[in-house]
Amino acid sequence: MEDVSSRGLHFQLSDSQRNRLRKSRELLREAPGNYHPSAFVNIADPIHVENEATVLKGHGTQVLDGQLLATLSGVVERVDQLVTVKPLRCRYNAETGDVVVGRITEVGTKRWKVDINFRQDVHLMLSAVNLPGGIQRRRTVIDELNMRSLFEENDLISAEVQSVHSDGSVHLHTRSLKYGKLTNGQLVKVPPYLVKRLKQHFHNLKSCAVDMIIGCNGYIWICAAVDSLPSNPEIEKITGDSGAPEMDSCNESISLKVRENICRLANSIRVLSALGFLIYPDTIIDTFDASISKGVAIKDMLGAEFLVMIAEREASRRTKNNYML
Amino acid sequence: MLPDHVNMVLLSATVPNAYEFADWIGRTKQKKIFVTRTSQRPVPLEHCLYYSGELYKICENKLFLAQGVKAAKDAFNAKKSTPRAGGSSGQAGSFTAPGRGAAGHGGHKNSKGAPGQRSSASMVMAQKNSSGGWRSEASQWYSLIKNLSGKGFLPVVVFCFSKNRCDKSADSLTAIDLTSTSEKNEIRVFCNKGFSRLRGSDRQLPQVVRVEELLRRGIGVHHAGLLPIVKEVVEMLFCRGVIKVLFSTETFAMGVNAPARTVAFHSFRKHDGKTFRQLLPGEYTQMAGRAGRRGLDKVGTVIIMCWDEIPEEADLMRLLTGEPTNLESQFRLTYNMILNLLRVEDLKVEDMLKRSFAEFHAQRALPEQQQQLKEGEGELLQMNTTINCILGDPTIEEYFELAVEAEGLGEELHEAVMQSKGVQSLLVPGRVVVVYTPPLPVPTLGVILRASTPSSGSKNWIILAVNRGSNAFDSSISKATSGDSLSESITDGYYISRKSNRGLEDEYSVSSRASRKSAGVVKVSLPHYGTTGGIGYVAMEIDNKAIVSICKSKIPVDTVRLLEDVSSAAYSLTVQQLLQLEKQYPNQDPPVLDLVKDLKLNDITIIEKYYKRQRLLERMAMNQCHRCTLLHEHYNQFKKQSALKERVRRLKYELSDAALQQMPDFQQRIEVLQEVGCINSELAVQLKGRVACEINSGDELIATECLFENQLVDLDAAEAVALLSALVFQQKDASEPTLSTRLRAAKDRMTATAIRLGSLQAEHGLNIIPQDYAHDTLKFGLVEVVYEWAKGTPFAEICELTNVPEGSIVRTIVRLDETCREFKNAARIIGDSTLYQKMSDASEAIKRDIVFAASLYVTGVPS
Repeated sequence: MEDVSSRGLHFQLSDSQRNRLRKSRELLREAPGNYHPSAFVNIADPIHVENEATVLKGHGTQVLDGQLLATLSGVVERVDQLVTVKPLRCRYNAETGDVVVGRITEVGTKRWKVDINFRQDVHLMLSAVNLPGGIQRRRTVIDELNMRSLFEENDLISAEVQSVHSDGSVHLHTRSLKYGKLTNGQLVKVPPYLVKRLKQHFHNLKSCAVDMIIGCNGYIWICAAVDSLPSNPEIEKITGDSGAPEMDSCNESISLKVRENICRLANSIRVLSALGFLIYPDTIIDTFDASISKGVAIKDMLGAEFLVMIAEREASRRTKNNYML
Repeated sequence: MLPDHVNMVLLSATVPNAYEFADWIGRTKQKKIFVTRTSQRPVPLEHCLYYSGELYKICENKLFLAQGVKAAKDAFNAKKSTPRAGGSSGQAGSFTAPGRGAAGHGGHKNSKGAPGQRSSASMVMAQKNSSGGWRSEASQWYSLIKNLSGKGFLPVVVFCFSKNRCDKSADSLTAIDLTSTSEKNEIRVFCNKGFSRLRGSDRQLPQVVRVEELLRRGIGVHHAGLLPIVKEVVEMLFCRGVIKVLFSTETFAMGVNAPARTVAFHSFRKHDGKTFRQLLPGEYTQMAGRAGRRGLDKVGTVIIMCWDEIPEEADLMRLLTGEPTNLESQFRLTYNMILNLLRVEDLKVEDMLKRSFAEFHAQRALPEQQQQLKEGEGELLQMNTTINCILGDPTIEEYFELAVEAEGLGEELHEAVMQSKGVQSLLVPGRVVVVYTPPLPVPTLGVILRASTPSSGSKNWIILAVNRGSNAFDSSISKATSGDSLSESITDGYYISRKSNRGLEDEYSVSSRASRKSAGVVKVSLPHYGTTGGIGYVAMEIDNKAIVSICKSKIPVDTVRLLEDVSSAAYSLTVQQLLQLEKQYPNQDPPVLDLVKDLKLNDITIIEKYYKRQRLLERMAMNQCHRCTLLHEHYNQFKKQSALKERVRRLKYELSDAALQQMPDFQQRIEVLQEVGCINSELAVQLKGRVACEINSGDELIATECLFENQLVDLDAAEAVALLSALVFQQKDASEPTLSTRLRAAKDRMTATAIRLGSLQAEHGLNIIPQDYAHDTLKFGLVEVVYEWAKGTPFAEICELTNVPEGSIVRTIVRLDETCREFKNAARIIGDSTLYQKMSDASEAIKRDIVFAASLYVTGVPS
């Protein structure tokens, strides 16, 4: 017996499971589309370039004594003359236009501070949110006083990165109806580098009546599809501690089936993140379907067997693609 | 994209399709828009022609006065006939003494040396054509100004359509002084204050000195070549009313709210970047609208100067009373826009395109189209009842497809085949042909009886065909199974036949007369229906198009008995022969003439088509529907159905995003971006794309490529910023700069990149010629100037380096600062600190003195 701890999850593997996992990992390592081993560098490793003078030294590189060195451990990437080192593990790096899920940490003057897994807490200005009722007007002192009625500390919100400033500070905005407070769902945190950047980050999984927001910052929000809910803007999130009567009713409004779907999806994401696979709707749904077809109970999805199974599945899929190519 | 809470007030004096525009804004913003329009002017205008010292009124209160033009014309002719003597102005001008005019010439000549020395590059050019005509022009100005000031028509704005002409005209008026002592004082004080923010050497710039001197005499110049601060001083002084004569370009009419008593047009032709053209009514209105100051003047006067000829009345009419050009969408997709839209999830590029004014008409028609689509779909649903074929499985679909294809080919072929000589000689009486024309439900065998030439000229044939379509009056025909519907279809067909044969019956008398000459009379009325032995037949006249194919067989026919005696025995005989022939070849048509062998056609394409069509026809003949009596009905039904399907498909297409006008352009640009690597195949924006997003001031593709190729690496800050000036500078005819080898190499590199990108875009179908693209986007005219400026050379010196006016230099450098900022941001995204440092150094280097002097409007004039 051996224990495998991976990204906050703890798996107990039997010997055979361990072998199977190792085998599929080996297969994956040789699968096509992977980086060539030489592309990996460690801190202070020299990066081989043909002519040091003409290359653009991007992030994660530095010139020391006429030699280009990596300042991060990661993968060397080249775009034309630009050489950058993309770190293997890092915090979220905000880019304009990203969809993020964040948690309010502080209500300040005219702004909220939001944790989005960035180097620092980012700002959501009062002027960058939609006021209730959708009326657009100048923000008054009254609005400032009522900020807590919009978002409180520990509220979860979805937002878009509006701008990244030269001093490193980041501003968000929620100026669209699809952004705003998140309720009736579950948050899953994964490393941001596993989230594949796509054109769409809001997904509506019709088959499970579930909405999913895959924040670029690695925070993934899964909730009951908005259409299936009575639209009640005052509903609090279900994980709230106090038991107001409206909250009970809103809890009941989600059927057991949907709640199961939410949990199953959440566990699918956790498994993928534990294995370090890219997370995007296709992989999530694939894992989700696999768990159903194999009849794995939701609680067993975080067990060793399912983990190994998904790894094997992915390995065989990639090698199969290889033959097809 | 504008937030909803921003309310809009839109004002225009020249937009004719205001309702349309308002409708569009209202639709896209989901808001009510109120349109108020009036043709009332608080100060009415009167338009005049000015010719040799006289004003001829040609338009007042929007009424065009033709007699004004005529009077001007008369004066023109009268003058032409009299020998020209001396100064042009002295002759007719009662306001200007001849001596004064002469003094004007002298004054101009004398002063020529002085301005020449301190003139800028543009001035040098201006003096090239100071010929005799030019001198008389100067004196014309004198007479005009005298004239106007006599009438109290000053101040006047004179619109010239080039910077050179403005300068030239203003400088020619050396001997005129329109200001009083107190005004002079005011101007002097104001100029001192205004220019006080310039550094010592900058205050002595030729342009500043020259304009100041002009201003003192109440003359102003205003165009884009001026330094911004000079322009502001001129504008402000004009608003104070101390400038009496202002020479300006079109720009003064836009944006600056500074009306005058009178507006004069130097000419009404202008150069719009490509060709000389006449002013558009909209432009004229915009500029003429500057005349008449509200509350000060009763009327505003607009003067069109006529130098040596009177413009045509029609031209003037069009200019003065014509409808201004409609507002059109100028929305063009740029790469930058696409990338910016792609990286946010909220907005789709397609939506953006949809909201463009260009798509307005399509969008307005949307509900109607949706309605049509619904109807079409409903109809289709009803139609979709399966066709009950009496022969079992309906193969009508296949048959229809074959028939449509055959028809298309047939039409092409027919023209070729029927006009060939071989065919004409073969189509003699007795020849068996396959005929397919409306009264006949299916392609049928027939025999040619006679050739006839109706009045329309094309050759027609009288044929006898087996009428298998079962005439309504013959119920004994075994194959007619569903009599009612069929008879209907036959009668339908009958009428159609009349139409399609161009009213044959009416024409028949003509054709019969024609045939009488040659052979005999046709006594039977066509089409002639009959039956024999249970088989219907029809004798009729057909044209080339009805002959589907020509068979090899020939049967003997008795033309005379058939057509003249109308002997039923003869008909019976012929029909029997036809039927026999048909029996010989069950399930298919009798063998047809070979195109090559029998018709002796040898055009390869025709032959190919012909064979293809023959194969199709064979397949059609094999199809069980071919002999079906219900074919015609089913065929029509199916035809209708597929027409409906086609319509529904087209409507759906129009409603989809793909029908947007700029959609192909958008797709091509997406492909280019993918090729360059700005976005990946899933349209997610990549690092390169994010860099391109930052760059707004120049061509984003070229700038990004240059960055990623690290073209700035071996240049220092001053050189780098000089190179970047190519991206923002816009003037075409700038003098060639002299460059250091390093800069020249960098320039070549950049041009190569541009050409590469240009050809890449051309490959993806965008309408771009690589060389022109490089030439249009990169203009290296100011590279040397900017380099010197960044190295700290005084402004006066860098102006000597080029023929580009001072104002353009300043504008370019200001924009260049913006570019530096964008490149700085790009460097931050890339993570290259040296580039970042270089760009901020460059920005520091160019930000100084006159170029970045604060606007007088913003800071106010120091007192």
